[in-house]
Amino acid sequence: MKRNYDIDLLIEKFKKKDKIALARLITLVENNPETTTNIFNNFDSSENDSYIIGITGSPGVGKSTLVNAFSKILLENGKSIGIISVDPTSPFTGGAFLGDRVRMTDISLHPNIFIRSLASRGYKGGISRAVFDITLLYEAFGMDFIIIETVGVGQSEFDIYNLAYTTVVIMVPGYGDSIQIQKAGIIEVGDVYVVNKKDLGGEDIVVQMEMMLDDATITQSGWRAPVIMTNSITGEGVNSLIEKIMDHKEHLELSELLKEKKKHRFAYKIEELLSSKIGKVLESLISEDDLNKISNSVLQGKKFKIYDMVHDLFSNVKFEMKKSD
Amino acid sequence: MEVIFGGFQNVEQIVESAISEDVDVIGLSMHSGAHLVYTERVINLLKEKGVKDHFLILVGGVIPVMDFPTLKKMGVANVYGPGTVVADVVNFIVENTKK
Amino acid sequence: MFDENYLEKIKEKKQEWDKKFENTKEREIKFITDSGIPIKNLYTPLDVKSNYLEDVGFPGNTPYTRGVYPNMYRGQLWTMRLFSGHGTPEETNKRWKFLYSHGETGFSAAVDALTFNGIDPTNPDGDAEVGTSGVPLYCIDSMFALTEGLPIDKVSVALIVEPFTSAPVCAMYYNMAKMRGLDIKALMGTTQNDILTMTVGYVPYKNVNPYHILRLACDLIEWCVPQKNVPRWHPINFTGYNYREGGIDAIQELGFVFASACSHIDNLIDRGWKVDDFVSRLAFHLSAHKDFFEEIAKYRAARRIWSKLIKDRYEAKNPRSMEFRFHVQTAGSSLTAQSPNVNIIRTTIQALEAALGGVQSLHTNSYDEAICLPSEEAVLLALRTQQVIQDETRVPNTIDPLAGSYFIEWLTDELEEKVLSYIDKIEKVGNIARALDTGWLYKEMRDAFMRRQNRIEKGEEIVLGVNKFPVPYDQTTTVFRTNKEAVKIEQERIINLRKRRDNKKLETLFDKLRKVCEKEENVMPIMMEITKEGATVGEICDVYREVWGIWEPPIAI
Ligand code: B12
Ligand SMILES: Nc1nc2c(ncn2[C@@H]2O[C@H](COP(=O)(O)OP(=O)(O)OP(=O)(O)O)[C@@H](O)[C@H]2O)c(=O)[nH]1
Ligand SMILES: [Mg+2]
Repeated sequence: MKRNYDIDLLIEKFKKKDKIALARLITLVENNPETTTNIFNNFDSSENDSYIIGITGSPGVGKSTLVNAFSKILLENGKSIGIISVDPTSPFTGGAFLGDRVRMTDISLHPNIFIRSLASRGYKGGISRAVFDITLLYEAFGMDFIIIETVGVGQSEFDIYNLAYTTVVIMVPGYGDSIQIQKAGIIEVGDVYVVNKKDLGGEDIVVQMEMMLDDATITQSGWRAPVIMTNSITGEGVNSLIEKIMDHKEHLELSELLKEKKKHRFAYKIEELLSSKIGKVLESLISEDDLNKISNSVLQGKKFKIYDMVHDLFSNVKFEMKKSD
Repeated sequence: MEVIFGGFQNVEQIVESAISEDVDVIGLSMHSGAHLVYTERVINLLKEKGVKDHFLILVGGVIPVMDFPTLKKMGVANVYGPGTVVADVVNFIVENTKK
Repeated sequence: MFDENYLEKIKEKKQEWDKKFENTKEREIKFITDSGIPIKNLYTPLDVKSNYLEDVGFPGNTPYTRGVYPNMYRGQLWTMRLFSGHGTPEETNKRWKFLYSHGETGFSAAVDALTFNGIDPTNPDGDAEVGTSGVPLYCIDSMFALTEGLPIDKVSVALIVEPFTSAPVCAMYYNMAKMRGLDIKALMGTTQNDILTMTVGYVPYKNVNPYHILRLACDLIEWCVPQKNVPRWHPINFTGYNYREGGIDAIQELGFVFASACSHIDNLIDRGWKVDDFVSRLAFHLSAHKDFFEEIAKYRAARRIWSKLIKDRYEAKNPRSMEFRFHVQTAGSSLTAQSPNVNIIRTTIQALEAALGGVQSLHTNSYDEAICLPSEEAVLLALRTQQVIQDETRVPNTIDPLAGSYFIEWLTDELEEKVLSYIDKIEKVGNIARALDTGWLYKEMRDAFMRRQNRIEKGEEIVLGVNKFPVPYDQTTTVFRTNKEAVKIEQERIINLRKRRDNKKLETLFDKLRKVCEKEENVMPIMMEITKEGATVGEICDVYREVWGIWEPPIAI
């Protein structure tokens, strides 16, 4: 096996819209964060802006099938799309089985689409880091839309919604999802709600959702999230889903909220980069031994001294901004 | 180890998935008796795209032992027939993907 | 079943014996059945809880534990039916004639992957697989070629297609029979038509939603049986075998088939039929796996469960409705590519299970099972295996010979109980379409497969030649290869057909089919019309896909 990851060569090909190069650059930013700076230095800010859509919902609600269905329509309208499908890593094996792609074989060969699967854990710096970097690559590649699919369980998945401009939450009839709606605080994350598998019913969920959305004090944004029903197998309702997403997009653009969303997307990233930097600095300043000492004393009956001990350790650490001369 | 499940895909889709996901290994599982034809098609398409050497290619399923050499000649790294111990496959992958 | 006082005496003696046994040495393995039921060292009358007249009874009487016919093999031996098909319909016809001339008593068509997935040979996605895993049967011409010169009015034919393609394939077959001058009201045979085969059985290609598959399966049942178009046909064969081969155990096997059967019955009742109008024609297809006694007890338990289920839950009046008739296939998954000769022995033992269990029709695997489709030499041996049991062993001399064995009766009871609670478990998830759509059944399959695979890899389940006394792959078996020209032959057949047929007329018929699908009416009447005019299976399935959309199975991770 000869694996070629010569960055300069890849960038050259990438700029000629070569998907092989895109794929390998993703591998690099995913597995070797230290290469990211070098890679991103090849692009300037006049690069394309993509519109980012997040799709979430419990396992098996039809997220991938729906992404497939509405991507098809976007493609027919001449749009280009980059998809990121995040699947959970098994907490038991540490491995992942990425199955979203199977639902997208229909569109996978289209020249204007690129699909990449991602396992939610096991990345240095966390999943949101990898996803953010891939969105930047997709933007540089010139994608009109970026679609991020994640399973709506666990904090790490929700994090990704700090990146999306429009978040679509998918539910299905039955499965006691109505209870989950309330529990998961799902009512706060969605810009558009979809009740999929309408062939199996679901009117009751729509009614419930509508009521809850009415009750929730209208957010400052002035957007009242719509609820629509789809059958992603036959494509019923998919057009109106696209319409609603476009409505939301327009709403964001007109109200200048899009700028806010973008700002948030980068602020989130900056914060993450900072804490990772600080983490590295700390690693160099405070040794493993120091930390072990503290945890050992804690175990030997000093648990109430935990704040003191950490504080003491830090009394020796001094952060200083280098003066630019 | 992460597995991208391809399901039932045609040759173009398999190659496209492998490229987009930039996987280390392509595993083809075949039980239909058509393994020689399919493997050859996948490998030819990979060659056509100039990426054949980027991947470790494994074939498994109901493959008569007489066909092992033919497959290897095509460029398959290893062939696994009935009775394969999964750990052996894992070891082979680990050994052969060390960069 | 025994006198109380006598049982007391036995109990005393048994306790004495138990002490004696305690002082002996036992091998350090788990004494359990394949499905995990713990097995005692010894069975005595104390273990037999069932009541003879109510629970065991006589053959031909409810609950049919001892067999569905009063005379069983004293009257007629089971049908020897070898599942076969390869290359082209013409070549398969030759194979069928070969088997028939050597004493086979029933035919069974293994169709290729294109046919059961509803793809025509002209589709580039499938061209590599034309005839490699069965016979391509996608138009009426193929049916004529398949059955040419064979007495299909006397010998029953099984068409192993699933609901996605059963309507067009059966319609083609019935049309062919009619055109050959046969009365389809007298036609005998079976369609597998099993929803679970196309879903948990294997990864399907561009299939439709389980809800529609269930409806399609019921369309065929309805049209054949209660509507009396092909009343002697078995329009469905609930195929526990196929999921059993995917790794589940005997309890799950029966649980799956019965839960599935109930969903079909419910669908037909919703259409306004009474159970007695159709249930007697529903058939089953089970596995004969590695655990000798458990499999025999399984068949006996299956007959009893079905009889009670139909009587109690569905309030059937006609005892014939309560008869559990079944075909058996020996376990292909127990066979190895290492020392394939040993497969003959495995298959013989499994065939004996079926014979002792009162099977109606039997397929025995060939020794080259784990290598290729059966060669002529291998399939002949597989047929001879059944013939040895039928003609030389005198096993069929008496009915249900193992009844009354303390162990067998106990195990039959045990399995009945466990199967019933497993059915409950499935039904909590919903009907079979729902159990599929939610992914629940997939997870059951996946877990069972992993458990079995782990047992084999750890050596807890012995596979000779693989994990005990391992040997390399056998180099001497000749690999049977299917005809490489089959693609060309079949593509030509289809091109000729398309030239010959009235394509204008077909267009209107396709519109009609589309409407029938949209309105969810029974597809069989239009299917009879359209296949007669030369519509192909691929074209018909494309209409399904267009109207209902493509369903991909949920993935169990
Ligand atoms: C079980 C089985 C089935 C089950 C499947 C159930 C299920 N849910 O999985 C059922 C009964 C449904 C079935 C149906 C059919 N089957 Co089947 N089936 C088998 C059988 C008996 C065992 C296969 C199996 O699962 N083995 C257990 C697993 C663990 O072993 P394995 O698949 O060999 O995999 C191991 C290795 O090969 C390797 N491996 C496999 N894939 C890969 C991939 C990679 C990347 C790697 C590294 C390793 C690897 O590792 C695995 C672990 O040990 C084989 C015969 C046999 N004994 O092998 C026939 C067989 C595969 N079936 C066959 C046929 C023809 C069919 C049908 C097409 C028949 C028909 N006409 O209707 C149907 C349709 C199925 C379909 N294609 O969709 C033929 C294929 C003929 C050929 N190759 O020439 C076989 C060989 C039997 C025969 N001799 O006729 N089948
Ligand atoms: N009946 C019905 N089934 C659907 C519909 N949409 C999707 N499905 C089926 O639901 C199952 C799951 O679909 P996916 O698209 O994989 O769902 P997902 O939410 O992406 O699943 P994960 O990524 O595994 O969480 C598949 O079997 C689909 O065919 C629908 O509208 N109706
Ligand atoms: Mg998905």
